[in-house]
Amino acid sequence: MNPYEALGVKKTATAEEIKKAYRKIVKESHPDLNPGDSAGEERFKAASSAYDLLKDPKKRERFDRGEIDAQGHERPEAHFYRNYAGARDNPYAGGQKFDDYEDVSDFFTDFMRSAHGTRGGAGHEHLHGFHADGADVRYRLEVPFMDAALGGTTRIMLPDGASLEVQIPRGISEGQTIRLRGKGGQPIGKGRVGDALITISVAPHKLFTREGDTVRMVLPINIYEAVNGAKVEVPTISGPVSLSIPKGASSGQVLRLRGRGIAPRGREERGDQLVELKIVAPPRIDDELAEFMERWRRKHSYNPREGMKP
Amino acid sequence: MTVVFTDEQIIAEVPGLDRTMLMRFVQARIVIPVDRPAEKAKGFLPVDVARLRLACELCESFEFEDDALGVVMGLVDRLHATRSKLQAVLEAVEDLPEEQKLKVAEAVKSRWSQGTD
Repeated sequence: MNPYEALGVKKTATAEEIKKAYRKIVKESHPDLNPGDSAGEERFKAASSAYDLLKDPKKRERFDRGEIDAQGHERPEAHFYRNYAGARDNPYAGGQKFDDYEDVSDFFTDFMRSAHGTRGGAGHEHLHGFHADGADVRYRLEVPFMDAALGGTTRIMLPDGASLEVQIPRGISEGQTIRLRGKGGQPIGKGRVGDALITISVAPHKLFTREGDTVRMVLPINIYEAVNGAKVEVPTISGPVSLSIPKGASSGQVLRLRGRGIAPRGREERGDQLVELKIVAPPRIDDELAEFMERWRRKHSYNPREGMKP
Repeated sequence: MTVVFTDEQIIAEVPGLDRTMLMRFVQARIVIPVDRPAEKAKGFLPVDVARLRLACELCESFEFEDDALGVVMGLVDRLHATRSKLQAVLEAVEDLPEEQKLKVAEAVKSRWSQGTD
């Protein structure tokens, strides 16, 4: 698309006019400010790639001379904030998160309260003079995988250089928020001190990954364990346990260790650990193995790719 | 699990962002760096890349100063949070039996036409 048309300006427009036109389109059509307006989104995308080109006098000159085309400035979809903004684990989402509620009905109460424009904590009408609660202050904290799984403590640095001890509850997951009462902003008058709200992100672990309260890991086994079966030791978040590899195991086969996963907040029973087997060839293929395999193949050849058609 | 960006990496990732602006945005709490005690460092996540991109666009388009930008970003956050809550409610209603769905629709319609309060 012609960048001048995208912005709705003449080819002779001044830099100031171009900026003004762009500003108008941002105001009316920016997808982060106008979610759900798909025509507006198209206008915005066209306008912003046009503006990227035309705001730079050198690029504009080169475009006018036909040296470069109008393409190559469109931004990938995934970079719009609105792709993150509505997500449950967006650390910037205002108010509480659903998983912080103790009771489902609170979800509606909170929704209603914000719909009616009154905010919790203000008021204190029974007291004389003006009083207001301190603001909640947001922090973000990355915790080690194991601390998120089993609980732990850590400290965060506050902007003023002081530090604050944080208890990490067992089973906390990405995007959940810890509330530290009375560790936020100062109140006015006899209001309550605000809270510190700490949104958690969980650091990756070198062995384990996590889906909800299920822990996953890939377990390397050798050829003879795969063929004959074996009892092997497997790490779990609460220490090693013994696992039976069945005879004739294949790579990709998943075994379940019941009750070896994560206990989510407020529940005693733990999820499971899933162990995906991965057969690892010996580091060196010696003549003995190669000859044995060749002998075996002659009598017992099989094709695991049978019936495999794209 | 997640990509973590250092200051340098996020400056390189977000068009129009420089160190001074990043410091300003952090100071104004437009973005909050993730405290990483295990690494003795702070970092940013992909959500911050998108957020800083929007902040830069708004600053460039409207010459917002930090307070105004903070207000606008706060409103954007509330808009999206409300939309996603509404979405959850709508999906829950969608799963109800047809008869109850109609009841909800009627109730919403009558409240809406009377004005919301």
